Formats: sequence, structure tokens, C-alpha cells
Amino acid sequence: MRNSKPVLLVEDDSVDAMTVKRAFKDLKVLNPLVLTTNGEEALRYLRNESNEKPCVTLLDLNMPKMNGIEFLKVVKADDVLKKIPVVVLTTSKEESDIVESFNLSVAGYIVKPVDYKKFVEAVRAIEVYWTLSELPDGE
Amino acid sequence: MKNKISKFIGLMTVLIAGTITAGRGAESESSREYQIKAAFLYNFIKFVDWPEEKTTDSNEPTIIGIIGKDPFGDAFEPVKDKPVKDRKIVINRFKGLEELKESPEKHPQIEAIRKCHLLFICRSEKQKFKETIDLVKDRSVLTVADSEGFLESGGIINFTMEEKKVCFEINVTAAKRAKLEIRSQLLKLAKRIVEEKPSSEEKN
Amino acid sequence: MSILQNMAIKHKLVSIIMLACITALTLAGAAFIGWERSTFRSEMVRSLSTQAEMIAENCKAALAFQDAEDAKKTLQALHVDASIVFGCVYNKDNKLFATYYRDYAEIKVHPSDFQETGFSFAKGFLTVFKPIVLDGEIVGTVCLRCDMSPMYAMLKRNISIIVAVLLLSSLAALLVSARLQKVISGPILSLAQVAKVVSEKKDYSTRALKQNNDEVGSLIEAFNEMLEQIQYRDLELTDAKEQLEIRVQQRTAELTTANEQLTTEVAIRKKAEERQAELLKQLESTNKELNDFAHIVSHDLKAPLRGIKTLANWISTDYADKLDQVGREQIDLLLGRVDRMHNLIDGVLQYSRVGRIKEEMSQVNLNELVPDIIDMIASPDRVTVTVEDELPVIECEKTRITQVFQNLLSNAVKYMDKPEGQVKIGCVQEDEFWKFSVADNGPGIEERHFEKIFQIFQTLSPRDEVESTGIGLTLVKKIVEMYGGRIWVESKVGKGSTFFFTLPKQKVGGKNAKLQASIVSRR
Repeated sequence: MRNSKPVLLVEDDSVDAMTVKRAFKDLKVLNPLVLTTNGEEALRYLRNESNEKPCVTLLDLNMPKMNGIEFLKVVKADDVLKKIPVVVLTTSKEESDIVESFNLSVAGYIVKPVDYKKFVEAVRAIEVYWTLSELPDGE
Repeated sequence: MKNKISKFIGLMTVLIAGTITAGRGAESESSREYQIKAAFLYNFIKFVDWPEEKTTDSNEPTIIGIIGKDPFGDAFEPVKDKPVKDRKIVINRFKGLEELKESPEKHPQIEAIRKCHLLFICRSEKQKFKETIDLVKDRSVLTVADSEGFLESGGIINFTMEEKKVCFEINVTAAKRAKLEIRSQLLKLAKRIVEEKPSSEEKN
Repeated sequence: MSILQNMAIKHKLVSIIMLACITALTLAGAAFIGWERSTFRSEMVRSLSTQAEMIAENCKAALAFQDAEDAKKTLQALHVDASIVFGCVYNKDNKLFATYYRDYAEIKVHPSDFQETGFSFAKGFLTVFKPIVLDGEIVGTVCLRCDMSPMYAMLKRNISIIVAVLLLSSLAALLVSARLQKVISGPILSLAQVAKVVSEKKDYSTRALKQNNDEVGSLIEAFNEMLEQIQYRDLELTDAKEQLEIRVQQRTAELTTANEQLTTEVAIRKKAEERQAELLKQLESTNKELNDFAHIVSHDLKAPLRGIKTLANWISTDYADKLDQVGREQIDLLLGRVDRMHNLIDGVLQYSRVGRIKEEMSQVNLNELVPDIIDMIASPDRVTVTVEDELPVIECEKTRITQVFQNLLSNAVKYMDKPEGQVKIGCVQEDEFWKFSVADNGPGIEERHFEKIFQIFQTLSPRDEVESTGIGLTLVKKIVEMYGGRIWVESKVGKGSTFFFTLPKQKVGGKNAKLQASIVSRR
């Protein structure tokens, strides 16, 4: 990423979380990775003043307690939080999910490849893009 | 003097003229009378039938004989060419018996006279009526005259004058004697019909 | 003429007869009168002429000898004939020679009236002129005039007599015709009467009485016959009507019953339809549920697989040096099994989708599709896939038919054991079906397995030899049967196998019926 702000990861599957972590490592992404396992947790983090706001949020959709869509709704309703670009990173190929996500102004929607190598490629793509793209300077 | 003469001349002229005319008148009167008589003669032929022996040949003309002093003159002129009963009429003039007797042609003449169908005996022959009639008796000759007493003499038809009109009278016995048929129409026109009493002559 | 036409027959007959009689009588009378007049005239002329001739004859001599008196006398004889009013004789100079006048009248004949011969009728007098010819020569002319008035009086008398006769005869004719017209009008009137009665009372049993043997008689006969026919028809009609009524009643009863039945049926059908709608709705919701369920299930089942795979990968990568051959083999097997699991889940998902997920029906030209599929399966070089026959265009869901061919072809390729592999695709018409065939010269299938291979998860080769879900043929069977076709295999072990399947030519509409049937049977 352009800066060194943290990347918020909202993902409940530990293996998937590990995969992202590993991918970051392989790609030598320097941004710290903040792990939350569901929407609630992620919101708590974001709301917490003392925490640094992430530059990008990687969001899974299928999660307990608060799933991705619900989280998106809340975040995008918040004036401050909505500025943070969200990239959906999910196993779901469902059209409905895609539509809803873009309705809620996600910046991207990536389907998690089964193959790890491809997964890494996907993360790299995200990283490269958001290195190129401008990011709003949050607080 | 002169006036008198002219008067006298005038008078004489008138007289002479008058006489001439009178004479002429008389003449024309008499010629008219004979014209009528001539016509009558013709008509008599029309109303009289001669017996067969007299009229056998139809080509033969009907002969009218005039014996004596012919008073007719040219009275026959108007009618002479008219045929009667389809026969021509021939008019023969004969001298009077007196003259005839002395004539050398006596016999032929008499024959000719006898041949006549109708014999008109002129007034001049008055004295010789009977003789003349006798001459032609039995020869069916229609004897006609215009003298008084003709019928008594045996003549068949006699002309008379009645009020300047020409009439005639008929002796039917004489006609019968001559074997002539006189038609009733003619008979009834006759002023007088004479029938002789039967005499010895008749019976012959 | 219309007056005549509208009169009663009686009057008509009488009038006609009267008219005829009067006309005849009038004509006869007129003819008679005319004839009489002319005869009378000529008679008058003749008689007068005769008299004139006689006068002429008798005046010949008088004229010849100019005896006017005699002529006058002759003329006087005319006194005898009362009608002669005037007679005279002209001489040949056309001057009056002698005249005779009847007592009471002195009517002079003017010289201008003089004619040589002939006669004329004028002012009620007949004047006759006759020439007097003596010996072929005209010597004068006789003129006689007679009064026609007696003749006219007689004529008038005759006319009145004739008129009287005419009237009497007409009267007689009237009486006779009035009496005799009954002969004609009688039967006609009676017929008319009968006809009236028949038409008023509709009583066809009456008959007219035939009186004469003439045309009216024949008319009456014909009329009676007609009545008989009508009567007969009437009876028939009544009969038919009754029968008809009976039949109508029957039919009405039948119809009512049928109607009731129909109503019941309709009610039943409606219920059934309602039921069907309900069921469809249920089906749809069930379908949706299942769909979601399948989706979720496959998704959720796959999730751990992914995890397993990833971790296995990481282990093999990170700890490769710590693992020996056996260990590495086991990791490989592990990975293999994960893949298999994935495929099985996909297969099950696919299988469940067939029939539930409706796609768009389209006209699929197999001649284009099948070569695409052949390319897609990417057979190795030693195996040649050929299309033997012209393939039809069928209406179906593209994905499904692709699945069919794809599975069959990939099977044929996958199991090929010969060095020169040949896969032949064929198609023939059989009745209302297309019969497709996929023939290979592979290992062949034993007969006892012919049925088994179509069962789910059944493979013939051990899974380690040939990676197969065992779902392919099951899927194909389900699809083919869903379209109303049939699938079977003919094979000789060692020679090869031929898979046949049929698809109906017309639209594959059998789906719904089948589904309905299955729903009903399930109840």
C-alpha cells in the first residue's frame, strides 16, 4: 500500500486469515494486518479512537454475529468510516452478494481462489492497485 | 213631195221585206214542218214491222219513196245517214203517176216504187191516191201522206196539223191489209185511228 | 278490366255471358239493319229504275213524235206508286219534255241536278235517271224521284224492333246465364268455402265434394288429394314433433346430467388446478429452499476443504525438508482426497441442480455445439473424436445438453485403453426421437454393469486409477430422462462401448408432466 497504515482484515476462518497473513509475508507487504473475526469486532476496532484507522479493509461476507453485508451497511453509513475503501474478499460467487456489495460502495470484489498460489496473486493485485491508487488521508 | 216618196219607198221596202220574210217564214215554217215530217217518217219505220218477205236481206236498205212533188227539199239531210233498225235508209224520189205513165221508164220505176218500204205520197198526187195505193198493194208498203182523206182512200198513215203541231192518224185496217204491224206505241200517239168497215174488197 | 277481375265469380260469369250475348246481338242487329238498309236501297233503286225503264220504253214514241201529252199521260201512271214524288222526261236537248208531280209536293229538279244516267240519294230522296234509247239513239232521259221517308220510317221501325228483341234476348240471356252459371260457379264456390274452412280451422280432414267431371272436378280432386297429403303430413309432423319433444327432453336430461357432471368436473378440476397452483408454489419454494440449501451446503462443505488444502500445501511447502518420501506421498494423497471431495461436492451440487434450475430453452445447433465440446474436453492426440452424422437442431437448455455430451465424451476419452482411440458421435431419426450415439473402442463394459454405471457415485475403475466422481453418467441419465428420452449402453468387453440416448424431436415439455406425476405419486 501506499502508506503504512494497517490493513483491516475481517475474516472468521482462521485458515483463510493465515493465508492472508502468509500472502502478505510472501509479498513482503509491510502494512500491519489487523485481524478481526467478525463485523462486530471490526466495528469495535474502527470505533476505537486509539486505534489507527486502516487504509484498506479486506472484508469476508460469511461471518457469524455480524456478516460482511451488515458491517458494510454500518460502515458506509458512518461519515468517517465510509471513506475507507473496502475490498470484499469472499468465497461467494453469488450474484446477489456482488450486487449488494457494490450497492454498498465496495471498492472491489474478489473471489478467494481455492489454490493458494492464485490467492497470493489476488492479494498482490490488491496491493499493487492500492499502491498505485490514491488513498484518502484519514485521521 | 220628197217626203212622200221616201215614205212610200220605205213602206214598200218594209212590205217587200215583210213579204220576203213572211215568205221565208212561211217557207221556214213549211220546211220546219217537213223536217219534222221527215223525222217522223224515220220514226214510223222504227215503230212499224214489215213482214218477212219484205225484209229478208238485212243488208238491203230501207227505202223511203217519195212520189209526186217532193215537198221535203233537204229535210232529210239531218237524218238521211242515220240507220234505222240497223238498216240504211235510202230515199228515192219518183215522179207523179201522171208523169210516170208517160215515161218510158215506167215499169222499172213502178217496180222501184213497189220496192219501197215506205211511200210518201205527196199532195200533188192527191187525185191519184187510190191508184197509187193500189199500185203498191200486196207489196207491204207503208203509205204515208199529208192530205185530207188519205186514210179513207186506203192510206195507212196521214199527217195532220193541229195548232201548228204535226200529228198523224192511222188506218189500222189498211195496215193490216198491207201486212204491216204497227206498234201500239205508235198507234196510241195517233190522233185518229181509222178502222174500215169490212167490205168486199177486204175479203179478196 | 280490374273491375271485372274483382267481381264475384257468379257476377263475372253472368257479366261475361251477357257481354258476349249483347255484343253478338248488337252486331247481328247492326249487321242486319245495315244489310236491310242497303238491300232496301238497292231494291228501291232497282224498282225505281225498272219503273223508269218502263216509262222510258213507253215514252219512246212520244218523244219520237214529240207528243208531250202522251208522255205526260205515261208519267201519270206513276201516281200508283205513292212514294214517287216526281217524274219527268227530258228530250234529247235535256229540256223538260213532260213532268209529273205528286199531289202534295212540287219539288223541282234543277237542271244542274240532271244526270244522263244513274241514281243518287240526296235529302231523303232517291233520284234515278234513265236514258230513253230508240233504235240505238238516245232520244231523251227519264227522271224519277221517290221519297225515301217511308223507307226510313220502316228502317226506324225495324231498328226499334231489333232493339226490343235485343233487350228481350239479353234479358233471356241474363236469366239463363244467371241460372246456368251455377254449373261453373257452384263447385268453385263450394271449393272456396271448403278451402276457407280448412285454412281457418286448420281442419285437414274436410274434403270438397266433386260435382262435375270437368276441370273444376279435377281441381276439386286435386284439392282433396292435397288436403289428404297435408293431413298426412300434418300427422307426421305432429308425430315427429312429439318424437322430437321426447328426444329433446331426453337430450335435455342428458345435457343436464352432463352439465352437472361437467360442473362437478370443472369444480374438481378447479380444485385440482388450485391444488396444482398450490403445489407449484410449494414446489417453487421448495426448489428455492433446496437451491439455497444446496448452495449453502456446497459452499459450507467446501470451506473446510479449502482450509485443509491450504494447510496441507503449507505443510508440504514449509516442512518439505522434514518429510520423507512416505510423508510427502501422504500429503499428496491428502491433497488428492481434498480435490476429490471438492469434485464430489460439485458433482452432487450439479446433480441436484439438474431439473431444479431452469434455464432458457433455445434452439441449439448441435453441429456447432458438439465440436465446441470436443475442443473443450481436449482429448489427447491418440484419441480422435469424430461426428459421423448430421446433428439436428434441438430445443433444449444449452448447459444441460453440453453436460450430456461433455460427460459422455470425456468418459470415452478418459477410459480409452487403445493406442488409437476412436470416439464416434452419431445421430439417427427414430419415429419421433433423435437417437444419438457415442461409440468408442475403449475397454468395453460387462453386461452386468450396464445398469449400475448409471447409479450415483458408481465407478468401474478404482478411483485411484481413474479419477472419477461417478456422477457423470448419473447426471447424463437424469438430464436425458428429464427431457423425455432414454439412455442405455451396448458394449463388448475389449471392443468398445456405445452409449445411446434418445431425445424427443418436439419441445421437451415432458418435464412438467413428469414432475407433476412424481409429486402426485409422492403424496
